[in-house]
Amino acid sequence: MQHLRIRTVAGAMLAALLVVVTGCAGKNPPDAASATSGANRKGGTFTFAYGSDPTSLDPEKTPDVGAVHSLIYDTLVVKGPDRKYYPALAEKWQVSPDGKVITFNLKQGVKFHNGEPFNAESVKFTFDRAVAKETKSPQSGGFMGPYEKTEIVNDYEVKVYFKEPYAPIFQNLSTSFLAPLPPKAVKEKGDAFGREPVGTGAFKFVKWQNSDSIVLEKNPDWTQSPDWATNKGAMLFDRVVFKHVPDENSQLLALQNGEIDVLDIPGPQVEAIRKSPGYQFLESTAAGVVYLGINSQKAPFSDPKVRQAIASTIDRDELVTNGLFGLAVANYTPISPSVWGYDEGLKSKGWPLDLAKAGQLLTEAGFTKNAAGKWEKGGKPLTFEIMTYTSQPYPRVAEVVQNQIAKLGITVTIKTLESASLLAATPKGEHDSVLIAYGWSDPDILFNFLHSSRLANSNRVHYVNSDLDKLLEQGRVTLNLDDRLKVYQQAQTHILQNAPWVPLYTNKYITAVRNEVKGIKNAPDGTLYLYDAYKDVK
Amino acid sequence: MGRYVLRRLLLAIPTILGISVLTFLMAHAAPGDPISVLVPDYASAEDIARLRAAYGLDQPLPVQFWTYLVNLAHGNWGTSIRTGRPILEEIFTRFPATVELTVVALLVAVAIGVTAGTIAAVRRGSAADYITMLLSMLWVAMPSFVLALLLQLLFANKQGLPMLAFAPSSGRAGPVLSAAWWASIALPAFTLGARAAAILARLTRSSVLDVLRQDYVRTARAKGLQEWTVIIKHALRNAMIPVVTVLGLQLGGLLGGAFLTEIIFAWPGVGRLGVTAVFNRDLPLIQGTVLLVSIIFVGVNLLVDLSYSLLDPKVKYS
Repeated sequence: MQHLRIRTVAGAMLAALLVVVTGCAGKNPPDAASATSGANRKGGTFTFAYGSDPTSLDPEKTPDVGAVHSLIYDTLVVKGPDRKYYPALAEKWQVSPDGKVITFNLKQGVKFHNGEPFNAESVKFTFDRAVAKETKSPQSGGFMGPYEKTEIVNDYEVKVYFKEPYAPIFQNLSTSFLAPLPPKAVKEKGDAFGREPVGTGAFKFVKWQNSDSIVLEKNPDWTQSPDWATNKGAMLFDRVVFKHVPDENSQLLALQNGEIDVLDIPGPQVEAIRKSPGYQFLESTAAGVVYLGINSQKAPFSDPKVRQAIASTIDRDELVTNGLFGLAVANYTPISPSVWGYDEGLKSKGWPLDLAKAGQLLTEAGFTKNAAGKWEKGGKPLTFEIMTYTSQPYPRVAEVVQNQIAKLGITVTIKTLESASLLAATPKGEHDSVLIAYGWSDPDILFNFLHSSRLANSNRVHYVNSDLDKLLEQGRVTLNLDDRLKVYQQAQTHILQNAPWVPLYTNKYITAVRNEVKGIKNAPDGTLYLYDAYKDVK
Repeated sequence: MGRYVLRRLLLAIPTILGISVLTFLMAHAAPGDPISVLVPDYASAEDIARLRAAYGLDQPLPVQFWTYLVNLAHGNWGTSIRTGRPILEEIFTRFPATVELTVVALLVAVAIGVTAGTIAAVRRGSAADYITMLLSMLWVAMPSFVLALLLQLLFANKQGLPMLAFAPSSGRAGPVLSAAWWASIALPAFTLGARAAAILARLTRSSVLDVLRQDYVRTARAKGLQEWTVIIKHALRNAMIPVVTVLGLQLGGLLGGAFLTEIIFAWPGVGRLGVTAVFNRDLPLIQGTVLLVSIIFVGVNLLVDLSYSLLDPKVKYS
């Protein structure tokens, strides 16, 4: 992947998406050769901040990939700013009529940083290794879906076989998780490969000091620039440095001091930074949704009318203003506006704010309002617990939602748990609801959260419905994009109407970049494009 | 003396073993396991089961613990489930930075704490006494992140007071003892040491006051010795016994408690490792870091006990 994602692509946890990264202004001397008198040259060092050390720089052995991986490795396909897939290491591809075989024609003349040639063998090696048991891959293995085998046709052509069609494969191939690896280097280095990675990417790995920094240098031979970049050769920066700065305030200070070049500005600080000179701002929308998931098998929430009533109490605009410093967009659908499959027209399919309608739905469900103005059924008051993470903004958002639901006459309590405990608690199904998020760039993610086969783990709302099951299964095997879009429109409509999920909002990011950096752009989902970016170096 | 040390070392074995058992049980009793944190939260039950088996987490607890102990006896602390790297490597690539920070913080604490406490005791009731005690109260009460932020804003903010901004906002620089290194360690070491300095100041003051009332001090004064000779040579040495005890405990606390300071100043030490390990349920790493901290605690306490006999010849070990 030749572009840079400022946030890590972690499984499905939006909580983990906020990252760090920034750069220090051209402190490294330019190459002696190009330091001609007086004339400026495009180059310099681009510095990010990162919050904690990557697990591993071997993409098949890590649960999360981020900017470091995407600079070191290229992918077979890349996603463009229009959310479509474009050639990268694969020059073109063709899907068989039954959707089970994809033929990739590979780019010729590409070499890994250690000199190994990139070819059909490296692609086969990478895919086979992702699913091999001994790799113990936390993520890449699952990303291959119903993978069967890879057949080498010739040095630059492979046929990838699946047991059944698998539509999410292109999204998965566009992430570093499935970036082609050099077979020889991986075998020679063994476990050390994760500390001394070798890819075909725009930057080569130089060194990694634990909890201190990761340094990359320009790969001068790199030519995988996509259509939407002006610069068709190697990237312009001489170096990219990732500096370990875990604390949010220290990151901000480092940006202000010029010790780093770029930072996602935390909500409360946006106003102040916006007013100070010296920065350019890039806006983006997260590839995920924060939602209130209601346990659909626990009474009284097993009655769709009760869920719909709760959905009708939510005022998303107030939530965005009061709970999130305006750093979010109200979202009425289960897909983010920056992700393929989003459809603003679906807004009307759900349950917009309407307390009268909510009361009517509760009455239809057999509830009555008592003297104290609270809803009850058979003398039992309707109460509701929201379970969520301990880390902000979740508790703050939960409080706003609590107040909104309380206006209807339902007592709401909040229970916060740290991540591992929360994820372990929901499969038991004892909770009323869970305020949680996911982040992913393909609507197939919904399968994991709402298909009945996932009851034991990630179907945290315990929703079981054969109609939705069928739609989600169909979305997974439909490779034709027009047909697939229709399937997901139906699936989203179903989710909104039956309200196992009440989508709330999608995070918005304000990324500040120091003005010394020129030519930097980003994608709608925040992926940074460094192709044309540089600093003036004397 | 030698037998005493040996006995103490032998006693340390059941202590550390007990801590290991407790850590192991607590880590396993917590909800969630390393695999559920490692895989995406939508991973299928089969994927989770496959990885759990690959890491031996499907074995009964006693078997897992026994395996851990056997490996430990062979000097193998295990591998981190999250990074796949040996625990010892994870710890010892970061440990030197933590030691640097702790040692400098301790020097800060002793230099400020003992000096201020002694002056306060000798000049009891004076303005110096009140100011010292007031400041020390303030420092004990002030959370370290507040002090850290104040120091950053004063001494590492090029846009605020450029004259004072001698330090980088965070990170560790240069080879040890170089000018860049001192600039980068100054703020974190002061943050970390300030609280211990305040505690030491208060303790030194009361301890010195106690000693100054002893007969032998009166005798020394009666011999006509100079007041500062009496204080430094005679009083301070005895007054140091409780101070050294607390210092020992503080050292353990500093080594393990540098967590917040290390995060705010991005100091590449071991502080964060254990906490991250807990969040990730990285069992081998949790056990490894707790084991290291307990070994340090036991070791430092032994050294403290041994130092008593140096400070006070009346203390003898057999």
